Amino acid sequence: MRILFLHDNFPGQFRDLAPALAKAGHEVVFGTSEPNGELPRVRKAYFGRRREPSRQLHRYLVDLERAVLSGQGAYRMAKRLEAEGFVPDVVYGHSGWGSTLYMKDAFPDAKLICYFDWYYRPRGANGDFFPQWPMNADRGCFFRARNATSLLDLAHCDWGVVTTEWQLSQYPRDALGKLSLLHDGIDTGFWRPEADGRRARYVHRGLDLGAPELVTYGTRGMDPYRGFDVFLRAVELLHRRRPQLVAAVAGDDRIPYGSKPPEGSSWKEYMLGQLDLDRSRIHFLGAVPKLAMRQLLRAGHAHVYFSAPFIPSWSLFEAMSTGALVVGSRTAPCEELITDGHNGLLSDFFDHVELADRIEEAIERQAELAPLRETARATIDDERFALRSVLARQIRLIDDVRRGAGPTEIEASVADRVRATARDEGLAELSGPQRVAPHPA
Amino acid sequence: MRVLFLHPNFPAQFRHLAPTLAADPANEVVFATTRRDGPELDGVVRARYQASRQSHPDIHPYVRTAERAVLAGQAVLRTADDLRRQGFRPDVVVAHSGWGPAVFVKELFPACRMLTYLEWWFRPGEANLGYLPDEGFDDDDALRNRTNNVQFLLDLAETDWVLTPTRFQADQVPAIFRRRLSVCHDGVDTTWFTPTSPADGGPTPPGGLSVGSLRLPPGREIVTFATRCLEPYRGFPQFMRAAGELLARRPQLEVVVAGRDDVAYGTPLPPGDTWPERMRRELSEAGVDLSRLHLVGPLPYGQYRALLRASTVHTYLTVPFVLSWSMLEAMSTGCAIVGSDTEPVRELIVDGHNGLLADFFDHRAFAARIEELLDDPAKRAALGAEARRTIVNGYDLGDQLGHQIDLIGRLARGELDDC
Repeated sequence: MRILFLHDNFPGQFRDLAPALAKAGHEVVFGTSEPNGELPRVRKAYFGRRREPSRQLHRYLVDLERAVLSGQGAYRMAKRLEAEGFVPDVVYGHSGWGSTLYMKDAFPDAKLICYFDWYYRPRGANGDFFPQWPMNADRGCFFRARNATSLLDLAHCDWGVVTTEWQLSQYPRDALGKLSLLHDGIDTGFWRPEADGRRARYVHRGLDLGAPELVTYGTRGMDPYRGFDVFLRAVELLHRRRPQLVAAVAGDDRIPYGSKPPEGSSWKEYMLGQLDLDRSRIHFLGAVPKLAMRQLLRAGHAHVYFSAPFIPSWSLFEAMSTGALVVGSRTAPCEELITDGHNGLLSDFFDHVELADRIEEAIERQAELAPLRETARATIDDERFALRSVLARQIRLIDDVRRGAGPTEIEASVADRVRATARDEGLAELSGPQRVAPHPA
Repeated sequence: MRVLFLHPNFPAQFRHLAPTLAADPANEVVFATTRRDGPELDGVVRARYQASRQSHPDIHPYVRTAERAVLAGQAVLRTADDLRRQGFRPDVVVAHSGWGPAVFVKELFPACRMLTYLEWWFRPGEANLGYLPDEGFDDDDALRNRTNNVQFLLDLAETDWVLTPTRFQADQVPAIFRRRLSVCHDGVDTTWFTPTSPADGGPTPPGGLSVGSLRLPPGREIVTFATRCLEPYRGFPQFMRAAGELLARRPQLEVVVAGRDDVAYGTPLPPGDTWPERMRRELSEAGVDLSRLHLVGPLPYGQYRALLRASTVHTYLTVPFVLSWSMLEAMSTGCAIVGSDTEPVRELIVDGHNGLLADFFDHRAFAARIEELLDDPAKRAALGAEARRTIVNGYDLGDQLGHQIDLIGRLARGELDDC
């Protein structure tokens, strides 16, 4: 089989799948805009935009125009690949930034699988979650229009993949007819607790965190979407309450999601200016390499992961897989994985006092709460999330789509959740002679 | 029940549906449109929306349609907000999909149910796109048309039910969106589009035919062609070539063509050039006597019906695209029809049963099939009667309105929410 992966950020969610397919003997090309990085036996191809979106365009549609420009770039790349003799049987691409938009035109005989991250709902998710950014008609329309690229892919792809129930719940109900619920997999062999169950010690780049009480935090950036500000407020309280407590924050000082702070362009700088923290007991580690990150998770007495109702981070899965005692936010993406008192603790997203209390609880009841760490590990190390089983299922999914299997036969399909068609609901009585009836799929 | 109709044109496909709903005193009906003109519809309150600006010419051509939809959607919200302040909150919004009026309507009325009237969906390389070889269809056209589906998708993502007039149109829609879709035609007024009288079997009415400035005496055989615009999408060039052959062979034959010399679909012609002019030139150069070829322009409804009633053989051609009302009106009038052998036509006409079919691109085959009917009055009568029966049984305005109103009622009562 010949397969073309597409992701602006190489290798993104395909970091394990692409080389696994290549290793199995398939011909794998990876189209991306990212020059850095290589994967074994995977050939890279490049696409880019000829220009950036025009300033005259309606602001709701800037994302769409950028996606169209990327889509055209990916289309030109596809034509080059074709000229070189590479015509894929399957194109598997990350949807949302446009590279997948015109693959059915470039390769009409190939099956197109799209990986869907997020569908924007004005209400009930990230749109109206933060009181400081209230939802209104203008933002509501903007949120709706932002789905344009995803909707084009949903309509034109052969099949789609979504990774969690929470993300799936955002999509229009009709989309369920061509979606699988399947995670990209967590390397639970790597993200595992210390073999003898001992607490590790974080020593990296000359820093030795041999603290008696260590609270860790670490996502890609530092922004309110992942509760960074609330976490720092909790640390401020804890610094007063517990003289030995040390906090460690991994991640870059940047804002992957959401808005800038009221002043400046860094939530870290802004929050440090607002709070009275003992700077000797909070460490900003920057981006931490995998091995050191695992050490950090193994060393912590508690790990904080907060998320607005949005895409959950890999770091949550990795922390649980490593057996960290996670204090999560009481929001849908965390609640899907964490049951309070079972495999972690939960705390109100906006309430830093509760968060401080729960962190204290975690520290004081370390021994008692040890089983939560084991359960957290077991939650991830199963067929839903463990890379070894998920990879096999991803490959099965690709093969099912390639050979044209029916919607309910495809690996991890949720098509059977689509309710029986209206025909079975007795719509016939509304119909005239065969004229008003649901149209068969 | 409160119903809000949205359509940039007025009254378009909702000409009968809106006033029929309004005739029930239990209903309140508002129709928001961009148009100022058009007829008064009994009991229907008009409202107007207008985009705040046009698209800037510099934006990417693929997103122009999406921007037009977003601007229309915002304009409708402003109008709808006025309606809301006056106390009007619709239970059901019935909206034509394509120019974007409904894309944001649920932002303002989250509890309303939305019925989407979907005319078309673009499939690059299939159906109409790429069908006419002379039009050319390149990669750029494919990508642009694919992107143009955004305007429909913003509706489909939010709508509660979809309506298409024909099964062929429904077939274009992606399968995932067909679960909540009904096929129901707008309907033809079969009490108005009737044959002259059952007893009248003659080729032209006793008094002859009088439409526009054209007067034809009784006793002529008349081949008719009538579409909104005389253009390649509706097979006008092939029809003219077929007509040219027939005019040369049959000295008694008159050909009457009704419609505007304009292009509604496909590639426009350069200014000053028209398809009727082009085709007259081509036929004239081929030595065809054009004195019996009558281009009468667009006709008022009464004269249009008179033309259909006087027709000996009526022709209808279309590329695989939205089927014209005119074909159904001709069938209801009992015309003997030769249609193009394309999917939308085949949905209604079965060759040899209620009409004849010929290859869309083969004007000689068209001429032969027209001639087959010109020479066989019994067959004409049989096919015409069967054509009328098709419309009366499956496309009658009253019946179709009944289905549509039934559907709107079920939506309003929430009966279709769980489908």
